[in-house]
Amino acid sequence: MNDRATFGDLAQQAVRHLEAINRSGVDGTGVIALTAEVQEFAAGLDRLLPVLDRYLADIAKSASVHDGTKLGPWERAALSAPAALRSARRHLPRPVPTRTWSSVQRTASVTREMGNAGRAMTAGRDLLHMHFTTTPGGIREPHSEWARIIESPRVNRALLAEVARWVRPLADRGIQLTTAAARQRGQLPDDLRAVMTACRCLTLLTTSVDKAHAAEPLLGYDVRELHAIPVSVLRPRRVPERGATTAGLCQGVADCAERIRRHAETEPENPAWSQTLTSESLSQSAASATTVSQHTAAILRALAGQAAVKDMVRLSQKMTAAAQAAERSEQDWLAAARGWYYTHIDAKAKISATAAETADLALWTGRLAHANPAWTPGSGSGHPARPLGEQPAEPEDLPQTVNALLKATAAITTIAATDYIQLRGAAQHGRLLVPVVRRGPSQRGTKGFDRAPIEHAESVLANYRSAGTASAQLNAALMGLAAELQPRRQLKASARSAARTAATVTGLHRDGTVPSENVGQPEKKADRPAMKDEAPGPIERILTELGVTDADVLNHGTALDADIGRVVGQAAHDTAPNRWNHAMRELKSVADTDFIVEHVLAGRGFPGAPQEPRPRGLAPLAPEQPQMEAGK
Amino acid sequence: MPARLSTGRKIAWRLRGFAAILAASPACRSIPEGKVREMSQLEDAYRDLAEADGLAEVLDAGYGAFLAVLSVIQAHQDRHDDLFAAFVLAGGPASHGRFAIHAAPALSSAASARPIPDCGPRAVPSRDAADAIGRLGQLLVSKLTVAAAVAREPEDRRACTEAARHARALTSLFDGAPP
Repeated sequence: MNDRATFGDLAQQAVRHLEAINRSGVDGTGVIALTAEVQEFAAGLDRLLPVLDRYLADIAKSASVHDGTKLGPWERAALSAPAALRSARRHLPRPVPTRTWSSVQRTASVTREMGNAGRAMTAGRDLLHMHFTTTPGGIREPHSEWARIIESPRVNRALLAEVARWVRPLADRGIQLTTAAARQRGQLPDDLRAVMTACRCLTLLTTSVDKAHAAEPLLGYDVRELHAIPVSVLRPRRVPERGATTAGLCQGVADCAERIRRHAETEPENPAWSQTLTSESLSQSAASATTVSQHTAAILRALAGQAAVKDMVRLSQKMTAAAQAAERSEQDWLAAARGWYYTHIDAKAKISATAAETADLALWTGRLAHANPAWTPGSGSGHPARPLGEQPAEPEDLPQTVNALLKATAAITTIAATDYIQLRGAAQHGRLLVPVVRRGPSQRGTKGFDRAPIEHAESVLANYRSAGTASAQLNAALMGLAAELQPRRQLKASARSAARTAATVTGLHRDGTVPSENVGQPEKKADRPAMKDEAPGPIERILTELGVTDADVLNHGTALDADIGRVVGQAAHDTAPNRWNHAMRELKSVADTDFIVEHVLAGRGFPGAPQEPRPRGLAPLAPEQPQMEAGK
Repeated sequence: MPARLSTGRKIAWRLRGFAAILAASPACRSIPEGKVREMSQLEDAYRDLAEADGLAEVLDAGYGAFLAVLSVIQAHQDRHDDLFAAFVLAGGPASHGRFAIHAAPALSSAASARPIPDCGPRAVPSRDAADAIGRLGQLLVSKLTVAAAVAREPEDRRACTEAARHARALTSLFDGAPP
């Protein structure tokens, strides 16, 4: 359920236009018309190649960052492709303006198709670049959760394959046209010969990609992930409709969580003077996070009961454990929210976008948790919990609910981290206030707000630390749960084996040839990567890259991946207190189990592994401090 | 102190102020009994606010009403409570309403010295408490809106307007409308 335009939409559009120019044959075409078509083709190619060149420059830049000391086949292809393309550009003759009306009539469709393909490609590149921002110092920084995916080597490979997919019909058509022209003329004039040479250079590019694919097959998942990259525009803010389906609510929770994380990353200003840092926004966020945690606990309790009824003991236990983590998160967030009954910040501004969206998230999760289709906080929970009613009827439906909760808890952990950092700055600058009444010798009181005593400010911060830790632990528990659900989902797919490779998506066979049955076929449109797509774990990925196609072996790999996921989930839970305030702030940091597995295999995250350096400016984490007492 | 009060009522206000200061002292707060029950707190607050006349009285009674709400909602912030979400979300408007009035120059020092009373564990059904808070919130909106209209000092006017806004938010939480 992805209603945003994706890179895949644009890539597919480019492919359609490029394939259209190959549809018309050349047999029977007269010399003049053929020459005119070659000239039009060359002019179109001249406009397309700079676009492709920019793509290849991006790819080569990423490949050179990731290559390390030893270049793999894809990195070699990425670094050699720009040279092939530039060589083609050099050989291409300068476009000749159309001279006759008849030639325009004959070849207008080629110009139009190539122009449309170029526009789609340009828009695709713009779409990828929208996920980054450039600082005044010229440094490119991630702007969305997709930035890390775009920069990843595997998606970079998929992008190179996509470029090769665009280049292939161009090279084929150019060679076809010039060969036909040569047949008719006997000897090619220089400009047509140059076009032929340019197209041969393009063939070198596609060949190098084909070789890379043959040596190290591209996975279908990676291509689908590239195609799933959406335009970097958040879906508009919305509230749940009355009687929304579970799938719709899960999508709403995920969207809302994404918006919160984006706002939380971009909104904060300097806490020393920011007028948008208000106690109103902070307390609303904390109260909403409390209710999100409570709803999460209610859903998990209901699912645990449902699993127990179906004799899924292990799953039920995992869900119960996650529900307990959610209850701890709820308690700690409640303490943070109550801190605002005694604390004030003297700033007036409208409610921050983060706080407003967090209230929305409470409503979304509330609708997911309650059977009442029009639930609001004031309507109470007199109805049975939704999962006991209509929610996941089949275990296969559970992942979407768990994934939605995972995103919701990632969002509240991000809020804990950003608010903690903001609050600490505010406390350091004396912006945390408490109401006071000063009584002088005359016993006449004057009232107002005073700077909060250090113990009071420490107590507020301690509450946020606890809330952040508990949220991170809840997130880890949900990741463990997601890992628990993973083998069930994948082991059933015993016939997938070779389908893992990218043949169906990129049109590439293992040997680099194009399967004829795929030409012109629409691609499967992928959903968001963490929601439904079957991302291979690291072991399964290695097996696939080794060329293993045996379903049993792959299933064994999948089971090992699931075990790793469980171990990592536990590790993430255990180490949450040490890392919640920075690790959880990283965009897309622990949004899906597969990423965590990758993260761990890269040497980070296991208990006992070296900790990442703490970002500058963050105070060392103190042991848990007593919660603020009422009336302090 | 309200300017237009009779001598008797002035004395009563002074006494109430002393009682509030006493109640704020740590010794008094440690007394386990003497906690007013939640409903009586809300009823007392409602009565005081309904009887309040003049800016200063409305501010004093309004301040007390927000404190009473804060006290009662804490008693109901239990995950097993039917209206847990509403009681948690109500904490913000109640505390911000209290702080808004705290900034008003016309608020008496005695009233502003009062802490959030501790009413102990919940004793009444959450729906009853919610209804009582809803009624009190509506009264706060109307009284504070009128007070804002008659206030001469801009700071008083601003405080009343702000507090009325928070009271409105408080009320909307318990009427089933989306927050």
